Amino acid sequence: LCPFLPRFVGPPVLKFIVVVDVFTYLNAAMGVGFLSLGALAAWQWRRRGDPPSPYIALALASLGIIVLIGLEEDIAGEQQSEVLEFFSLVLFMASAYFLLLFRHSIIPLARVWRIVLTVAVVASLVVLLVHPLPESDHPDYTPLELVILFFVIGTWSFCIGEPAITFWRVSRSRPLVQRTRLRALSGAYVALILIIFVAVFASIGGQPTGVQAITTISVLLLIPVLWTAFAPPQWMRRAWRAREEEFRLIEDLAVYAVDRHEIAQRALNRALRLAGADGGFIVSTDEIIAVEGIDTTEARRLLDIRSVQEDPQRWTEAGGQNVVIFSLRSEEGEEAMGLVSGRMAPVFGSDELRQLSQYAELVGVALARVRLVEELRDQTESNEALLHAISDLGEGFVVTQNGRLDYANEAYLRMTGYTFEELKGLPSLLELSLPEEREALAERMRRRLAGGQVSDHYEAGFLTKDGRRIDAEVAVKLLQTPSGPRVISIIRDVTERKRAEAFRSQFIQNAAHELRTPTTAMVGFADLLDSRRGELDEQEMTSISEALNRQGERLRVLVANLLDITRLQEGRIPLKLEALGLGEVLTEVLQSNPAPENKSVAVESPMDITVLADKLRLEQILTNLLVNAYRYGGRRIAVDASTNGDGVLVSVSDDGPGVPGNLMPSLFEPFSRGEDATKVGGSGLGLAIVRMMARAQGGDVWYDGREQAGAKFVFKIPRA
Amino acid sequence: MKPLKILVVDDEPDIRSLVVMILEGAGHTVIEAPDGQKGLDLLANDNPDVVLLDLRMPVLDGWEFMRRVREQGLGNARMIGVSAHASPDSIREAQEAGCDGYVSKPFTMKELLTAVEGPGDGSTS
Repeated sequence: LCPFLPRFVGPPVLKFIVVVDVFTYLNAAMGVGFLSLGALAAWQWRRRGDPPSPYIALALASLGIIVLIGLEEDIAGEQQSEVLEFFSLVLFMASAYFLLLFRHSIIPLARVWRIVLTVAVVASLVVLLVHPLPESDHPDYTPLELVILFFVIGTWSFCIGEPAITFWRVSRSRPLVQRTRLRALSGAYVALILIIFVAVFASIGGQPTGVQAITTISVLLLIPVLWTAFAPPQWMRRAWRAREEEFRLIEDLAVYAVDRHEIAQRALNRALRLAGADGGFIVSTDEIIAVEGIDTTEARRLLDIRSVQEDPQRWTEAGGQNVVIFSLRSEEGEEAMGLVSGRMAPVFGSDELRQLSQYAELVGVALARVRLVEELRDQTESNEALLHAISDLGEGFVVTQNGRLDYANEAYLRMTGYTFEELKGLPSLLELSLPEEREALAERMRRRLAGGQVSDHYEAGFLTKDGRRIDAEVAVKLLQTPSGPRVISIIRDVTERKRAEAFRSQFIQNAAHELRTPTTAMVGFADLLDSRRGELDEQEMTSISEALNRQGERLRVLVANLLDITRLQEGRIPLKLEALGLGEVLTEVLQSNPAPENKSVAVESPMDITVLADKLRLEQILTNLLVNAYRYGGRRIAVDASTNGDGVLVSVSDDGPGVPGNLMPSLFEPFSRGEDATKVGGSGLGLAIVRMMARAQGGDVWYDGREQAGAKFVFKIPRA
Repeated sequence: MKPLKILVVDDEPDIRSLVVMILEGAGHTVIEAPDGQKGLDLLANDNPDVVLLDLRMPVLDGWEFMRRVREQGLGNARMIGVSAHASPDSIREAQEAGCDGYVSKPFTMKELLTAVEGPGDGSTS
């Protein structure tokens, strides 16, 4: 390599003295250029704390010194001393090594490669020290010398060429600013290689002077390019960012403001790209709402460090990373955005800081806006949850304005059977009210809107879409809204309750009435016995005691039935379901309730069916149906049974007149009975009890009126 | 007091026999009808002084009975309604329908006789 370096500064100048002077100036300019670049890098390092800069400074300075040393030979016109030549060689290899270290500080180099390359650089120097290569314009190298030559040049090229390739390769997966920066570095390395090779090429003797001049000038021109690549100036960084900024930051923040976390994440990513930073976070009152490139723990640590820093906005971290933290404008709590510089693009210049701090302002505003939106949404959600809760409770909830529907909840729509659109289309919700109540309700509404004293609670009926009448309790409140007064109504369907109340009241009245007859007989006969004692003859005494027995029994049955019904209605009868032979149960029932003298019961099927029922209750069902037939039916009574799916159908029929049509609708209701019931002593509760018991056991009972002659009751009960 | 001829219309046989025993024991003559239709026939044919009428009956109840009495001009006998309802409303309703007296179930002998014979007379019997 020895012959190269002096040639680098050009021995041919000795032959062409005039040109020599020009080259000497050019070379001097080149040397000064490199040195200046080195000094600038050092100055930047001091000023900005850019960690990798010292390597650049050293590399560039080394190259500068080499060029200047070469000048000495030109000026002196004689061969350099060997010491000086070797020093040049050391600097030459060192410059490559520093550039390698710079690459290592940005993209760490595998340990093994670092060792291999370090050894290679040192080995090159040692070999050259031991075996200097011959120096001449046309040297004839021995094979060994050629090997040494290639080894040294190879090492040097690798130290610079590898980073150039790596920078380019890595840049492809990075965001725009980082990518541009890495490509610039890669370009600078390539430029350095070019400079060296061009210089060597130019210095090889025999080149035309013009070619030499052009190459040397090209090298000089490359120096500013190198500068922009290693330490990109403000205008260049701005140019890199320009394309990022095309993304129209403000609109992006405003339009996509969905929730706090998302907008924070978006803003953070944008800031990272903008600054070419590696990581960052946004914190809002102690909650880290967005983090990128670093983890939450790391973000917290950086925040903690900030509080003890002198300048809390910007500092250099122990790991060699730059950290900058911006306060976001915020009315409540503390919000801040922190960015950590990347190794790839380690610069936070004052321009970036200004840009970022403006951006941070925007982010602060956007976050505040999103917080408002979120609060509004929370409120709306909780309001809706409230309305749903009311709906779930089955309470209708309606908002009207001038009678027209504004809002109706699910429950109200279910209640009325209309769709929201149908109700919305009505000129007034009063159309649903009962015609007889409509005017009174309208008047009531007028008084309310006029500020009159109207009770907030009232009962009203209205008609559903399918014409059913619904009784409702309504609670009303007037609400003044910006668009006029609205009426909020909560509507509770009390139809069932009213029906149950009416049923209960009727039931009690009926029960009382039924109790009156036996009570009257018993009280009257007792009074008669008391006041006419001794006056009554034997026949009268007999008929009185028979009547007392009859009415006493009637009272007993009535009370038992009433208790049964009440308990069945309340579901308080415990059932013991078991597999029972239908035939055996029927036999027992017929034994304790034999047919009266002029009637007969025929069992028409084998009855070898097993049912799942409560024995006592099954007996009661059969008894009631049989006694019913004894009382109201014809002379011939038949019991039949058949299976039907998983159930058993048992029928009790007779050849009597059948159930009159007017009795049909309420046949199984309490206290419904035929006109001649008093003759046969029915209480009107038997069939009601049968139905309740059948249903309680998972079955049912109905009247089969298809057959013209006689009555036929069928009950269904599960099969065992 | 002068014995009366009394028509008892009630669908409950035991109540009828109770009323018959009480009234016959007091020296009155009693004719019985198990429902309103038979009662109307007896009222027309036997010309009783007093009708003791159960207001709640199957086939033809007390209210219908009195409507027909008015229609057919059979209104000479005193009408006494018998019902399980003892409320003032029920009594007024019965009076408006044409009842001259009212007895509510359950009744004592004295209450029944007072209603049939008229106040003041019962004590002299």
